[in-house]
Formats: sequence, C-alpha cells, structure tokens
Amino acid sequence: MTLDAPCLSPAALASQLAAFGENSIMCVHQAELEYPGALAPGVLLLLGRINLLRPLTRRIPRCYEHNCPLTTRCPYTRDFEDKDGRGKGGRKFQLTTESRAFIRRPELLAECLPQHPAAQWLGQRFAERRIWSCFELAERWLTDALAVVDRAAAPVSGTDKTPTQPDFEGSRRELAACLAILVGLGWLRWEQDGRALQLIRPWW
Amino acid sequence: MAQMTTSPTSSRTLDLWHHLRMRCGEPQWLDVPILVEPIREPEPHRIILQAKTEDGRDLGSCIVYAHEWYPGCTTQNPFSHYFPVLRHVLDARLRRKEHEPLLLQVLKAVCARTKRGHEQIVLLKFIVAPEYTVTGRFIEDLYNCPLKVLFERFLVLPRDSREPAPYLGEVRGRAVHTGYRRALVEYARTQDPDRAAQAYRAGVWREWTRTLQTLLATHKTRDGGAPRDLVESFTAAGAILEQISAGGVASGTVELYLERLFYSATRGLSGRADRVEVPRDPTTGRLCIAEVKTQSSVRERDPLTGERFPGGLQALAYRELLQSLGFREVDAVVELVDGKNIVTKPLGDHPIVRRLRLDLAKPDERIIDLIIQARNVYYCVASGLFTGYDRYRLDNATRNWRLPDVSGQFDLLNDRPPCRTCVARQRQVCPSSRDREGRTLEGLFRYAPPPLFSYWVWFHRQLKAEERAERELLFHLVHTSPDILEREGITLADLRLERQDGRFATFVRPQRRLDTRIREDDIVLITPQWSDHLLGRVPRPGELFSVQGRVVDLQEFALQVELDDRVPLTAHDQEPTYRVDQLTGFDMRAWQLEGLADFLVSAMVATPVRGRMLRWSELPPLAQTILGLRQPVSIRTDTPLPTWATLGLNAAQRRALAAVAALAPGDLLLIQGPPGTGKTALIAAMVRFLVGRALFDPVRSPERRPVLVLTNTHRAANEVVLKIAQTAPEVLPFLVRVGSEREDMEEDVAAQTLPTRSGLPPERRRQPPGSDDEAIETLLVTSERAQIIREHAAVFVATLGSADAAELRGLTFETVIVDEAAQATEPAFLQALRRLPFGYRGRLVLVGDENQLPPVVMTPTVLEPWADLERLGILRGDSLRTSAFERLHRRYPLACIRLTEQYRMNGPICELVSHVFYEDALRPADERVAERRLTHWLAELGADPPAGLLGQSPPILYLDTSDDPLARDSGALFQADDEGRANEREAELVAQLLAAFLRGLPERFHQKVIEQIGVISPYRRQNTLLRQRLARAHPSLADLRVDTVDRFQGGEREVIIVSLVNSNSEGVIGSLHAEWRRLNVALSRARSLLVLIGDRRTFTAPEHADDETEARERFRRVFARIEELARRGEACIIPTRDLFVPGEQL
Repeated sequence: MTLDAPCLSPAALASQLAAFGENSIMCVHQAELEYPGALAPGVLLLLGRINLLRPLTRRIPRCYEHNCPLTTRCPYTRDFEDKDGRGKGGRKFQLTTESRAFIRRPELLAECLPQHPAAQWLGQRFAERRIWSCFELAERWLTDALAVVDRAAAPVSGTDKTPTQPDFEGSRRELAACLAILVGLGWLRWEQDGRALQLIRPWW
Repeated sequence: MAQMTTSPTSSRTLDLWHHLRMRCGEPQWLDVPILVEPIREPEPHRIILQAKTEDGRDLGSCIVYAHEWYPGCTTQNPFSHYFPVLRHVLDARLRRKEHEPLLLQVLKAVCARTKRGHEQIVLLKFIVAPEYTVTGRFIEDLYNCPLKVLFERFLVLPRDSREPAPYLGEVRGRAVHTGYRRALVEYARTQDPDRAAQAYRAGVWREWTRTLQTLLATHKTRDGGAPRDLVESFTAAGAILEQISAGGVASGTVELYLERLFYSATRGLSGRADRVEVPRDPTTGRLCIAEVKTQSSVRERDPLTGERFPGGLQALAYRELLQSLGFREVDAVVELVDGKNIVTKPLGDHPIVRRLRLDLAKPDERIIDLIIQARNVYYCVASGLFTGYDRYRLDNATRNWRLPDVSGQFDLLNDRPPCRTCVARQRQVCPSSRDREGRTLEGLFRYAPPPLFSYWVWFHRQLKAEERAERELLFHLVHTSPDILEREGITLADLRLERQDGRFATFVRPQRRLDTRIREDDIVLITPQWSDHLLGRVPRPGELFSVQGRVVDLQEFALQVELDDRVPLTAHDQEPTYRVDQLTGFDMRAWQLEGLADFLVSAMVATPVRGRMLRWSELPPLAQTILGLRQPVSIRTDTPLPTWATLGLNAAQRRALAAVAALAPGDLLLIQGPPGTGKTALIAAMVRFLVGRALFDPVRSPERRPVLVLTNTHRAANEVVLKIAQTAPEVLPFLVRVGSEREDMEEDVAAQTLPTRSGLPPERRRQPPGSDDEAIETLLVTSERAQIIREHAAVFVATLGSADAAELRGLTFETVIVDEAAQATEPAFLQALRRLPFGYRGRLVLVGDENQLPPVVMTPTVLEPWADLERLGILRGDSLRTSAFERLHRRYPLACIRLTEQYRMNGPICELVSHVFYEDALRPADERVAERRLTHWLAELGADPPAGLLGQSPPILYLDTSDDPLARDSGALFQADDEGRANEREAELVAQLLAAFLRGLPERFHQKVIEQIGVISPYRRQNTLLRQRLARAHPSLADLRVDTVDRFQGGEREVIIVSLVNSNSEGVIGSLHAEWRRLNVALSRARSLLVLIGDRRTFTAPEHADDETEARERFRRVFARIEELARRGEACIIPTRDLFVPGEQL
C-alpha cells in the first residue's frame, strides 16, 4: 500500500514502456501481483483505449509463451490455458507503431489523453468547480452511473436530453490512471494531503 | 443425552424379544429400540453384541452377520449395508474412546438356531443411532453420490467464495415454491382464483426481491429481454392455479399443512414436505404428501432411460417417515413445474419403484431398506465414523465415489455422480470427479502439513460434537418427558392459547410462572396437546402438527410468538393445551465448518507443491501466522499519516492506525480494545483512511476492494456503520451493509443495505407491482442499480456468518478487519480469510479484547491437546471458547497494540476495572471523562440529584448482602449452564433503590432517566424476577433495560446496577461467574455510577473447582479495591441487613 498520491508523468510512462522491449506482452495481472516495473492495469487500459497500446483480443498467447515471470504464482494463468477463451480478451497488450511514437515523443500523450472518455468526464467535472475531494469525485461518478439507469427506465419525456453520464463505461482503474497522468502533466494537483484534486490547467 | 431419556417402550421390547425366542427361525418385524455394546472386537463377518433395553434391562447377547445372513438362512443380500455400517461405527467409536452404549432401532431380527443347536438372536435390519436426525433431502444427496456427502457434509467444503454468484435457476425454484404456497393458502381461504393469482405473484415477487443474489445476477438477455428464469417464475402461475383448482383444496375436503416439520424418532429422519393434505373426513381419502420440484433440480436421473424424477426419493422417505409416526395410509406425489406446465408424478411411476416392482399399497421391506440404507450410510459418513480423523483413511475413502466399504445398493439410480454441481469438483479436491482436467490438488489429507492437519482436526472434532448435539435435539424433545424438559428450561408445557391474531399468538399459563431458558427471538415449536384423530394419540413435537415460530415477548405468565402458520384449534370436547419447545441453534455450525474446510483447502491450493507432503513453511505466510508458526512482522507505528485520517483520534488510536497503514500483504495485526476505548471509532477511521487512499488506485482489479469489516454480531456491524455515518460520512456512498434490512436495524444502517440503496426498500418489497410485466421490468432496473452500487462500493460491513453472502461473491479484499474478534470462535473467524486474495495476500486486522466475554458455545467439548497443537499455541483447557484473538495474542504478544484511553467510565470506576482486569494500564481519555459524576448527567437533563442512596452516592456503591439472612439465592433451577438461580432480596433491593431514585425526580425526567439506567445479572431467571419487581415498584420502571451480561456487552449506561445473585453457605458461584470475564463486562458498562449488589462472602470463599480459581481471585481484588476506594471517599459500602425491611420503603 502506497501512501504517495498517484502521479505519472508522460516521460516516466514512456520510459517504462520502452523498458519492456519491442515484442513484449504486458498483462494487467503483473502489476496486481506487484511485479517490479509492471504498468498499472488502469494505465494499460487507458493507453489501449487511446491506441497507444494494442489490447489483444484474438490469438492471445498463453503466459508461458511470452515468458511471463509470474506463471508459478499467478492465479490467472489458468484463464489463458482454457480453450474457450472467455474473458481473456483485453487483458494482455502489445506495443504498436503509435506506442513507439509515444516512447520517442512523450508529449504525444498530452495530445491523445483528452480524447479518452475519462478525461472528458473529468473535464466536465472540473469545469463545474476547481477543487474536488476524492470522495466527492467518486460519489459523482457513482451518481452519474445510476442516473443513466434511471433515465433508461423512466418513460421518455422528449424534452430532457441532458447527458447525465459520459459515454465512459466505468473502469475505476482507467479513471485513476487518467487522474495520475493529469497530475503528471501538471494539469491537476493533489491537495489536502492527497485528499483532494485542484485544477491547474484546463484540457478541454 | 441417552442417560436422561425415559423408555416407555422397554416392556414392549422385552415382550417382542421373548416372542422372537418363541418363534425360532422365523424373522420378525420388531421396530424397537435397544442399546448395544460390542462384546469383543468386530470380526470380518460377524459382530457380537450385548443388548439391553433403553432403561438398562438385559436382553442377552445378539449377533449381526454380513449380508443379512443368519444360521439356517439359505440366501444372502450381497448389497446389504447393515453389517459394514455397524462395523465402521463401532470401530470408530472404539478409536475415539466412546464407550457409552450405542442405540439401535431394531426393525427386523430372528432367533436362529446354530449347527450346534444353540439359539441366538440375530439382528437383520436396524437404524444406527436414530437419535441423530437426518433430513429427507440428504437421502437424495446420498443416492446421487455418497462421496459428495463426505465432502459436503463431513468436511463441509464450501464453494470458493471468490467465484461469482450462482445462476438464477435456484431463485426461480424458490420463487415458484413461495408463490405456489401463497396461492394455495389464499385459495383455501377465499376460494377465489383471482385472489390466489395475486397471492402467487406476491410470493414470486417477494422471493425475487428477498434474495440479493437475484439482484446481482439478473441481467437482461442479449436482445434486451428478461432472463428466462425470471419470466417463467411468473408465467408458471396459470398452470399452478389450474392445479390448485382441480385439487382437494378447491373442494374443501382436505386440511393443508405447508412446509411443516415432521420428525420420526424411530427412523432418525426429519423433513419438511412442501405440502401435506390431510382429508377432513378420514374415511374419504388418504393423507397425501406433495413435493414440488422445479426444472432447476437435476437430480435423480435413471441410468437406463435417462428419465428424471427429482424429489422422488425424498417423497418416498417422507412417506416412510409419516407411516412410522402412525399415519397408516399415505400417498406421495411429485409435482414437477417445468416452464408453464406442471407434471404430477405419482410415486408409482418412480424408476426405482417400477424396476423393483414395489407395491406401494402394501408394506414392503425393500422400500424401508432403500431409505434406511441412505440414512445409515449418511450418518456413518457425515458424522465421521466412516473415516475418523485418519488422514490415509480419509484420502482412501475419496478414491471411489460409491464408498464400497459401506456397501449398499447405490446403482439403482445414477450410473455416474452429478459432478457438474459438486463443490468438491469445483475446488479440485475430488479424485473421483468425472472431469479430471485442471485438477490441481491431490492427497488433500495425506499431504497436508502435520500442523495444518492437526489444526483442522482439533476444531473439526469440536464443531462436529456441537453439530451432533444439535442433530440430537429433536430426539431429546420427543424422548424426554415434558417435566424433565421444563426443568432443563427448554420446554413450557400446559399453555393455553389466549388469542391468535394473524401471525401472532399469545399463550398463557396463569397458575405457574414461566421460568425458562427460552427467551425473545428464540425459534420454538408449538405443539397441540390433545389426541389427534388420525394419529390416535397426542402428537409429539415435530410430528406434522407442530407450528414453528419466533418468540416475540416473554412475560411472567404469558408468551407471545410470531408464527409461520396458524396453530390448530381444539375440538370442543378436548382440553385446549399446547407445549412450546425451544428449537434455536439447529445447524448453526455449518458455516463455521465451512470456514475451517476452506482454510485447509485454500492454504494448500496456494502452494505450488503437488504430489508430496507439504512442509508448513511452504504454506502462505499468513496461514503460517494463523497456525501460530510464524511471528508476524514487527508493528510499525511511525508511518506518516495524512492529517485528515487522524482527525478525532487519540494517541493510542493514531498508533494503531499507523500500524494498519504500514501492513503489507500477508500481515496480521491485533488491536486490543478494553471497554470504552473507542474500538468502533478506530475502525471507522481505518475504513476512512483505507478507502480514501484506494478510491483512485490504477492497479486494483475490479474484483479487489479496499476493505471488509466483519463482526461477530449484527449489532456490532450496525454500530460500525453508524460510527462511519457519524465520523466519516463521505465514505457512505461507497459502503454496503451486507444483508437485508432487519427489524432491529437503525434507519441509517438500513439505508446502506443493497436492496434499499438500489430502490427496493421493505415497503416496496411488500407491495408487488400490478402486473407481471411491471414486476419484471422493476426487477431488471433494480438489479442494474444494485450492480452499479456494488461495482462502486469500496467497503462492505457484514457479520462473520454472512461472509459468503451474495453481495460479496467474487470479491476479495486488501484489508479485512474483524471486530469483536475475541467473541468469535476460531472457525468462525476463519471466515475472514475466505475474503482475502488468493494465497492470503491481504492484510488481516483483528480488533477485540480477550478480557471480555469469550465466544458463545452451546455444548463445549473438552479435548486434550496433542503434541502438535502445543506448537500452535493451543493449550490444555483451550476449546471453541478460546478465540483466535486470544490464542494469537498469547502467541504473538508483540503483534498487538492495546488501546488504553477510555471514554466511558469515570475515574473511580475506571480504576476498579483497570486494576482488576488490565494491570492498571487503562485510564480515562481526558479530565471530562474522569470527573464525570451522576450530578453532571442529571444537570445535563436539568434535574437536581434526589436524596437517598443512589442520588447521593459516590461513583461506586456496594450493597453487601453477606450478613443479610434474607438475601440467600434460590438454588439452581435448571440442569444446564444457566442454572436458573434467582435472589428475591436482591431483586427487591434493586427495585426499591430505583423506585426511591425516581420518586425523588420530577416525573418529566423519568423517561430520560430510565433510558440511561441498566440492570445486569448473569441469570435470565433473576432478570425475569427483576423485571417483575421493578414494574411493581414503580410504573416507569417497567421499561427499564434488564438483561444478562452477555446481552449487555457493547452497551453502556450512566448508571449500572449489577445483581450478583449467588449467595449461599456453600460458597457456590456457579459456572457463569466462574467465567471471570463476565464480571469485567458487567462492571465496565457504567459511566457515572456503578452499583454492585451481592454476597462478598460467597464470592471470596475457597474455590470448589480449578476453573473457579481465577474468578475468585478477581472477585477478591474487586472487593479489596472497592474498600480502598471507599477509604478515599470514591466508593461506599453498605451492609443490606438493616437497609430495608420488606413492607417498608427506602
């Protein structure tokens, strides 16, 4: 458990990616098992969504095939052994041409990140007010998700078209990664002993 | 229990035995109980036994041969199970050193003549240990796979709780059952099909909304529609109503008994059939059992034809059960609800009945053989008498799913076990599983490291002994006279029904006080005590006519019960009396056994080693620590904490929080929290900190959550939620209180349950929507909301018993906090480990205080620990009453942080408690707490302290009854742990003291004052007496809280009065006071004033038994410290001899 508030600069992220090597496979479970140097799953998912990594959805290699160092202690190894392959997709990632461009030019992340739905949703929130505590932000995220269900269930009124929920489908890890990168970019800043976030520079 | 039973059938046994000898060579049907002891060790083909009647009259020797053979018999039954089962049972009892006689219900025997011309009694068919109750459902389980019984009922292996929730078919089955039942009741009452249809929908709606797994597993189909299980449970209404309108209920010719318990002491079987229809006119029809099954049940499949007949064996067992009770003509059917159709299958169509050409119209021994075989083998396997605790026997038993060692004819049904649904296959521990692919664990018992295996055996044996006591409860109730049961405190006889109003019934016994151990919230059976025309005698508890209920209120001469069904009313010519028997506690051990089995399996699965015996050092680090073999890492209290995390905490609490923050996966931390030291506030702070740090963590997988709080009781779980609401309200959106709302839940707590948060509060669940479509749509929307709330939840609060609840399925937690850890048995605490990530790579924090009350155990078994266990820190005298917290604290004193600043007791009370129980380490948190007095509290209310003893007392008042001749106790009333002592004088003194105190205060203050006064005594009987005396002394005192110490734990009051009760010339303090921790809890509830009433001489007398030594010593220290405080003017000691003379007011 870290007591440091998460912060991830594009340069640090690019060098982490570079350290993996050209044909390596990155897996979301490596960081969960605290493998040194592994990228957080939220970061992998986020990069995958903005095309800076390629999430593998077909012909996913078994763990021993890409020499994963955690095969002896990883409880998920069996998932990738099964023939049916259900739930395997989107858990392993590979570098792409865009990844290599990002490694060469970390500023690329600042250009791509605002396209991510989490960044857009956060942009809407920080446009409302400049400081959000973690609890408030997480509560708003929950409220928005529930509002979508309620709207879908309610009879169509025809006039109310207010978006209550970003089209971001709700990966907490991606949202967390997005916040860490926004802090790393200097666009947000942790305040109150890591309890709140303050807007420094709008990105929307 | 066998010694305490009476045996009205003994003379019948003697007669039949005599008759048997008269008709040598002719097998006879007897159906009588006998007690047997092996004369010598069982031989390969025969067992020689010494037989007696139940009351000990000698019947001579008898023999059991293999294959139901006897001298002179020309045929044998190679499938007979009787001999091998008996041999296993006797053998295991011998190894366990159980030497009391074994009870057999002998069904069939013969007096045979040997070749040498000797006559000998040969037992052919019998029920082994009929006092052990087996339910009808288990009969079917055993036929499906005997090995499954070993895994599921002996080992009690649970499914992996990290796996996601099960499928909806289970809920559909329950929904159809509930709807059907409600429709039947409504139709019988009104004969109106429309109202029956509404009742059906209400029942289905209730079941779908009641179970949380419903909300979490109900998804729209790919095309946006509702799942089939959900839709079909509603659409089955048409067929069900058609069925009802064509049956006896519509014609009004039958009396309905729905889901009633029925139990046969001679068969060792119990059950609850969905429906029993009893003809109103016995001459017009037969009694009929109906078992309703839905298509989700996939059991009982014929190996030849593939035909399914779920519930058939169960119905057959129930039929035999009812016949053994004396119902002569019994029919049974299975109603198979399949989608929109109902197929009624009479038992005659059952594949077994057809293949064996059984004639159900006549008595047929083969039917009994089928049922009894399953029952006996179940008993033998599930109770552990098949394998004992021999690791090699256990493993060998798992090699053949038919358990050939106990023989029997199990090939009549499936030709292969239904592995698909078996937990042993899911956990990969069954070598007989059909699908061996992916199995990773072999030799579960053989390869377990010796300390782990010993640990499992130690607790498993004790839990199984508890389970056995529960399984024998019904037998005890049926076999013991109501007078004796009343003396035990578990039965109330000769009650009259005063009124029955909807679900509630009030029973009275005006002439005799209800002195009993039964109390509010206990589950009871109410049985009419007049002769039934079908039985031809007075029914006993559990013989179809008993109605189950929950005690709502217990008064001096009256008892109110909330009923499951209406109690029968008497015919005019009969005496309308009822008896009430306590049923609480049945099957409480199951989840503790599950936690224990899970620990055994999960600890081994997490190691990569296979195919050899593991070393304990190869187990996950936390498992080694729990076993007592690996010191936890040193506590670090210097971790920097953010200021927001430590708001409102004292220095000791901050240290504890820092230690929690520094924990790494696999670490254990103990936090000892003496009374009033802010344990719950600390837990709330831990939760806020852990959630705050984890809300935006890019690593944590969706199945991994920051924190789970588990408590021993619902009350403690509610307290945690309330404290979080009070001190960390920002956490509430991410908090789920596991379970549904309960009556005793505060509004703030109920608001955190998943059903309420997702839009289904209780009032909405009670009101079904107007149409099926609306109901389905509402359920879908609610489930979507529930899933989102659960997805966003970061903290869950639950009891240890609900650690496997639907809300938690598939989730693991980085930190699990166990509150009240010293009150949970060690197997109960193991439930917490089930929620840690794979390999126990999570943090475990135990919060408790082993100086307060230990775990509640119904029938503690005293075992002598063996060498391996001493290495684990399990010592002589330890039992299930020794919590994991206590053992681990003893083992790792450096892994514990003690909270020392308390917020409850004022200075003198704190000093007394601290000196006697905490080595003087406890102190008031601040001056305000230390200086608090009765006058401050009254001033806060706006009142002046009244004159009189209480109003003018220093913080501690001791009323010494040592020289008071009127103050002797009543002696023990019950033959049980709670001896049922009372002390009239102490009760009267308490009543008069409090009445005088109230009279000195203006009436407007009375309500607020009594809310802050508590009266405590260890005996329920004394508490009943106290309530009566208080109500008599002053009307306002009727509402005063009077309770046992155990129920007061966790509570506090400004004024606490403790009535010690025991006062006798022999110096007997009883088993309740011998548990010295009870005294700590009693004394430490008071904030401003502590009043102690009791006989110092009795409590400081020389001890009567070894287990009293510590208690006596603590009592001596209590009285010595009170004297010292009295010298300083902070306590007052008053002899009661001349204090109050009956008839005067204080």
